[in-house]
Amino acid sequence: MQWLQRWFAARGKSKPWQEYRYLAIDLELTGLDAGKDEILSLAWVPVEPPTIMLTQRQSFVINTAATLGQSPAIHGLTRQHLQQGSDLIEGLCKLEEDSAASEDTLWLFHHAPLDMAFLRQAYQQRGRTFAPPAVVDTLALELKTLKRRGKAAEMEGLSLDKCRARYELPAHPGHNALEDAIATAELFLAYCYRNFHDQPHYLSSLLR
Amino acid sequence: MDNVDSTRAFLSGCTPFDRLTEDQLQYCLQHLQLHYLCEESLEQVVPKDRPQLYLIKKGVFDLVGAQRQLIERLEPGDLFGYPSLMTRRPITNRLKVINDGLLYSLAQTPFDYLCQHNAQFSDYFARALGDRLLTESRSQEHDWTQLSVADILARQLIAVQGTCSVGDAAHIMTENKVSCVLVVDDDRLQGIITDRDIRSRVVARRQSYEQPVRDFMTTPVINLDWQAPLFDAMQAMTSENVHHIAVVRDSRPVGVITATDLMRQQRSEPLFLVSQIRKATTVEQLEAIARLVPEHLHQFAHRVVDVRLVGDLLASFTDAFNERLIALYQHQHGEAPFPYVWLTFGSQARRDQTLSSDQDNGLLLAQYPDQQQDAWFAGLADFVCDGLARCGLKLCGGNIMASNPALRLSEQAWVQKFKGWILEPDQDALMRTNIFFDHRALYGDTALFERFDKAVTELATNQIFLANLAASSATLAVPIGLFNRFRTQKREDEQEVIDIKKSGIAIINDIARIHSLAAKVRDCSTPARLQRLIDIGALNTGDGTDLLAAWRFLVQMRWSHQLNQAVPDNLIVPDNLDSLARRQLKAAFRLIKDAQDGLALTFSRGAF
Repeated sequence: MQWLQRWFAARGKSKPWQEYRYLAIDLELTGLDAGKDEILSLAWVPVEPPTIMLTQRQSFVINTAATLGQSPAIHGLTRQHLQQGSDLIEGLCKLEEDSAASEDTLWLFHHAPLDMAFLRQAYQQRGRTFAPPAVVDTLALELKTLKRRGKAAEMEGLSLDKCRARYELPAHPGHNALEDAIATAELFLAYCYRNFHDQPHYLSSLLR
Repeated sequence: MDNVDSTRAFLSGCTPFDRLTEDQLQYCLQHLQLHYLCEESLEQVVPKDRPQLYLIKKGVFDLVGAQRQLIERLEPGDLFGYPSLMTRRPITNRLKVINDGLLYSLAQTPFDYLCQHNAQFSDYFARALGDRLLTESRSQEHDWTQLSVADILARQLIAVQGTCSVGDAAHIMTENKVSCVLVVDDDRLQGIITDRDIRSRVVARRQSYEQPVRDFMTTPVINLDWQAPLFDAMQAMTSENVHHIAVVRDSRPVGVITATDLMRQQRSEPLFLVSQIRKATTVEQLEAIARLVPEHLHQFAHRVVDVRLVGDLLASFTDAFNERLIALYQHQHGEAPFPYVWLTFGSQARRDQTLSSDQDNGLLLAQYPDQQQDAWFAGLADFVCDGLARCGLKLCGGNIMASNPALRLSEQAWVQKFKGWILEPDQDALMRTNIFFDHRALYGDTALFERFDKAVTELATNQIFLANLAASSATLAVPIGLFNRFRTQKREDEQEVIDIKKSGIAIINDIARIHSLAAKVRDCSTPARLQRLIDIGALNTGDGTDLLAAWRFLVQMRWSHQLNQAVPDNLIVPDNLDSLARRQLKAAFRLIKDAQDGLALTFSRGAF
């Protein structure tokens, strides 16, 4: 019956959000401009609600010659770390592979546009097609929720830790790709279970 | 950089993960999963069919038992799930979500790996399991004996005023189809009048039905609080030989429980046995009834979850035999020349005898007897001690019996004797005289016993005496050794055994006794003493309830052991226990060891 499911999925019908698999992804960058800055590390952890599959976590530090500038102060990655790292292509291939592991895989970010721009750039520069699955963004979700409640997002704050705090999740040691990816996964689960508990929500609620 | 530093930091702060070596911690980090736990995800995160170890990262959850009793409130850093992992028994406890949160899980295989490779880690869980099991056995499944009086109180209160005529009272009883009515004035319980009272006290004596009920009622009435366990009602009926018990709430009468109500629970054959004992007219009859006792205990044990109640029941039987023997002697030889008290000591006094207990008793006389008077008491003592022996209560090897003239003493002489034990103790005597400090009046003059008991209670607070008692109790070895291993002894058949009476129950009895003497607690049974000590703050609640749990566990184990054995001894073969019982036993011994050390610290200054 799988073909039937796929057919329904193709018609825009979606299953409850808990039945999908999400890869919570985070990147550490030398700056914010996808055109000239570079990826220093790439990490993700699969989420199969209600479980964050820590055992399947992936983390790559990239061996890059990029100018670090002031960024080590933020992400803590020094030249030495980077030199022991791997080629970005390894991480990208692994990410492709993990994404294809199941039909129902989605990508999950906190503030997707930035990371997506870097990933698109990275794939295309290496001559690979960039064909990401549907993307869920916890920042966008939280922004929408705040607006619906009539709250000013600028006042409340939308940083990962600010958002987490609204769900009573503790501050986390940030600016490490894997820690951020896990923190995003936690926030995502808290967001969905807290906001959706009254009635079933389908994937469309997350993508709209 | 594959490490999640925050998880590592969190684990390093949680016992027993802080005992892992670097490699083991790495291994552990590779095998953890993280879950969001809320009402909705509960079944997925904590599946009933797959035990895992859980570590709480965030949130608050209540661990509740099969009977919905709270076992533990779990907060960040707390662990659960290990009992099923360790025992491979099905999961029976449930989780209740108080605040949503996150928790780590570790599956069976990595858990086993860590246990095999780190002794401290596995030892931690062995201990935690033992403690948990003790906690759970404390709040175990409920059976009928645990029902409260209120649970079976079906009828509305039927009461009349003291001035109501007997005729009207009889009318009300007939109307309501009841066999008794309470007499209540201004919400206060005055008395009770039953069918039988009306027959024997009014009709048979040709009294006028117009007289008020208060002239014929029984007063005071045996009564129980509405929340008292049903078992107490049964005990009250057997020990007071009544068929009706008034039930009060905040000292206001709310109803009556009858023997029929209890029998309706289908569980009250013990009542019949006790009433048979009370009706017996010869020692031969008592002997015949006594032969039925073990069978009754067996049947009773099968029906109740809590085997310890078998001990209470046996105590009721023994008391009934004892009282009946005294009554038979008085029937044959006339009333006593002057007031006296039949004292019981040791296990009968504490109401924790077993099928192998022997008798310990004495006589407290209101005055010094002349030769003729002494003959009456000597006759009583011989008759009762011999009768008890024929009913299965072995004669005391140490001759602690009323038939021994040295234990048939006037009040003054008894107090003098205690004074000697207290003020001039020697190591040897201490062990032998311990038993006298558990005493209870089985029969006789209440005021006389009160005076005697009060005098002894005052004397026994002597610091040096208590120090000596504590020191002598500290010499008893608790059979748990290094690395949490049992210290067994060899039986004649080369089997490695542990005497759970001598090296367990008796030590708790000692500890409870010494604390009670120091705090002038006059209860006699060990659980009653411990509870009282907790209530008055002489023992801290944690230590007290731990000891109580250990005592109950050991007594329960002893009963299960004795009821399944031809020879009722106290020797447990640890190798024959399942791993669960072995762990519980270790936990109990460890608690005893701790309490023993604590006792020595509190009292031992100035011993010998």
